[in-house]
Amino acid sequence: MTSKPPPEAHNPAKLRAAFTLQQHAARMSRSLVAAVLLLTATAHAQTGTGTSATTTCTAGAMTAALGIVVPFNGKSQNVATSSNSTIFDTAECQCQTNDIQLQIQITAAYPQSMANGQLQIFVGPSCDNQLNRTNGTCQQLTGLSIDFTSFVQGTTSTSTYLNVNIPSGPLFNPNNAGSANCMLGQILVNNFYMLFAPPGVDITTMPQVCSITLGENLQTPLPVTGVNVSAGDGAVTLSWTAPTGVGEQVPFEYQILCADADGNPIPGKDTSVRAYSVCLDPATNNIARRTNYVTASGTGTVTDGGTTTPVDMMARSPFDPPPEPEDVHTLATDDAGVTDDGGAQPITNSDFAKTLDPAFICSGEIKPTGLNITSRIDGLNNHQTYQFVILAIDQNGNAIASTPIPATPQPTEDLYTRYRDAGGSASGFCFIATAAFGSYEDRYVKVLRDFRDEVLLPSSVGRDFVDWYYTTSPPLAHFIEQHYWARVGTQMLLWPVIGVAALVTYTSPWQKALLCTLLVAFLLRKRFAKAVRA
Amino acid sequence: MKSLLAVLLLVSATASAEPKTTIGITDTSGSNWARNQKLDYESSQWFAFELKFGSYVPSIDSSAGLNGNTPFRDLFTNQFDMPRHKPDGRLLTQVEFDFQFLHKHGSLGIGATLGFYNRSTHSFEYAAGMTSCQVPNCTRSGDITNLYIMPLSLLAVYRWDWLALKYRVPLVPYFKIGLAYYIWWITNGSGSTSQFGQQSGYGGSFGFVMHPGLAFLLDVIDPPAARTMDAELGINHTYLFIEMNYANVNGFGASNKMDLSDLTYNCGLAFEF
Repeated sequence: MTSKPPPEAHNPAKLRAAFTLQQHAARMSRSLVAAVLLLTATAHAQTGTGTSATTTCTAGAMTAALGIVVPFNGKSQNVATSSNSTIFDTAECQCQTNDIQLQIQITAAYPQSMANGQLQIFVGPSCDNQLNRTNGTCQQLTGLSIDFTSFVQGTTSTSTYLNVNIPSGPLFNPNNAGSANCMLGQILVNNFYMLFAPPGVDITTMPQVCSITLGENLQTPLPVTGVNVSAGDGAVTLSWTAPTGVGEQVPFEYQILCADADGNPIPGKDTSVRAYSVCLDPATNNIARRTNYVTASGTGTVTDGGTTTPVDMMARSPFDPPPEPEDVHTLATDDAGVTDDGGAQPITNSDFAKTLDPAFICSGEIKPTGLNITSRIDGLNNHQTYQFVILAIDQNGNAIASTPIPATPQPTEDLYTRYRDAGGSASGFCFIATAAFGSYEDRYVKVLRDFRDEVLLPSSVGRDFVDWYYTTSPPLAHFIEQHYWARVGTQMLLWPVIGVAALVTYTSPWQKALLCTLLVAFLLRKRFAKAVRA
Repeated sequence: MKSLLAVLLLVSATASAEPKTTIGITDTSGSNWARNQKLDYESSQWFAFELKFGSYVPSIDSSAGLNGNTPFRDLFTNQFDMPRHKPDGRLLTQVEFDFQFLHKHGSLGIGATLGFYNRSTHSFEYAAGMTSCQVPNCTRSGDITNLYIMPLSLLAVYRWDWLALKYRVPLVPYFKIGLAYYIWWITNGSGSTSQFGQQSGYGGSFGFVMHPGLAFLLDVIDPPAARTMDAELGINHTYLFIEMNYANVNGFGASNKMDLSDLTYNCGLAFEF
């Protein structure tokens, strides 16, 4: 499981960009051609239809690379792959009031040519057209601080990083139609243009242009079906069926949220791995999950996964009441199957299923292993009722929740505990010592076990001895077990063995050296005394 | 049995070493005391390897101390089945390696086997008061409990292959007997070893096993292929076999050992090389 930092208050979105560089070669002089940057970057972009594309950005004869590093968008998975990089998902779209942070890496083979260069960034349609850049169609991002001083004269290559904060509004709202513009299924085709001009070149008229196409995917996958829940010992086992569909209707992964019956998070759960996107409610600064979208009334279309479907878009409240908890557990029809969990306490609050607050995360990323998926949530208290929500998540972090599912863990009896409860007593491997002292867990037997594990088994000679011991000792152990006098005698014989084993096993090397020194001194004391007298 | 084994070991220790034999040349040097008459093309043969499978059900419910309780049957059968019956068998996979030190009117050798067995089921929920539930009123939980057994054995193996090698009768009866040690461990719903207080759910039981069996010599199906296999791979003979698996593994009656005995059958493939 990937360990990730706690959920952020908002989601900075980083984007690995694909560039298309359009060279204005006709106006470049030979010196300028030499100084022209070859902007090469290979990145991946996903369009709003869910398809992917790879573009390469090149320009000029000068070797340089301008890249946009895909920023971590707050999800634990790395969405920056060739098939689904991008993108802005539902939560990121909704977090329009937050800036999107990009990191641009500028690398030049001839850095001196980069010194005092100019860089401009425009957002909008067709910003490579100078007219669009001046008539307001495209919005220029201002306040950029480009540090080209790191390019050192005379070096062959170096890189500098440019951090750019881009207001999300222009990205999602190209026509400045208002802040609430994350329409379900809306396909936004926005271009993000970077214009660069080396020293002496008019950036307005003769820029090097790289552009990326931003895509977004606001459609959630289909929810899970066929949910079953069963109690375990301090745990609950959830199983469900993966929804069938096409393309992005099929979840990429799953994650489980859980709460107690009163809607409180369960302490001790690892909430650092989040597979879905969230954003903050700007009014309350709390984690918010908008299940519906505010939009103008009328009809529109949902286009996702290559399928276009007409929908009736209506103004909705962003916070619909949560659905009622549904009794989804089933009684076993086969004795070896799953059973009714026997919920004990009533559910009083299920708001976490509405907000998808990451504080309620209680599983890692669950990848689909087939049509039927099972997950066990442990670390719970027996006889206490909990509620669970299964999130189906697509590759872009869009998540859809199941209805809250109640379950109550119960203590269980496995084969060994039932065997012991029924009167059985088998445990462990030791023979002679166990027979003499009556129990495998006897503290003196434990000394010999530790001696076996830590001293004998690590060496080949020790292992041979152990093998021989296990082969030859059982009949003797059985005899000892049956005769009292044999047990007493064996215990007496084992005391010194246990003492030596304890000294060897439980002392550190320097302690062993000290003991050996003392032992040698004791054994040679008479000789020392004689030498002293002499 | 022990004295016979000791004699056999002494005899094998005094046997001369196997002189190197080149394929195609009849060995005329060295001692032939432990050797059958060798065919011209046959390479030396000292070992056998077997891969075998069988159905196995440990007799856990016969363990000492249970006093008629049947925890194994309760969990691994449908509690609603009437009449109550022993759990069905599950696959036991074993490999065996033999050292055949004597080839005279058959082959005599010592062998070692290693096996693996696993079965699982849903645990029961405890009844009220943390007491064991009574079938058929138990409730299955979502937790899975697994039983793992790893049988080990040291065997004396005698194969009467005289008819097969001399008269090409492709049937080889054999008999194996030896000491066994079955290691077992049980896991709970979290996948870790089960615990009962301070004691862990693992251990081992000694016992003895016997395997009378019959092997079918596959060389007769395609003798040229058999010769080629010998020449290129050194595999002298290949067999299909079926054998009885009699395992009396209960710690020699110790009160604190689990009974893993069973009487079943194995079948498999054997190679002599």
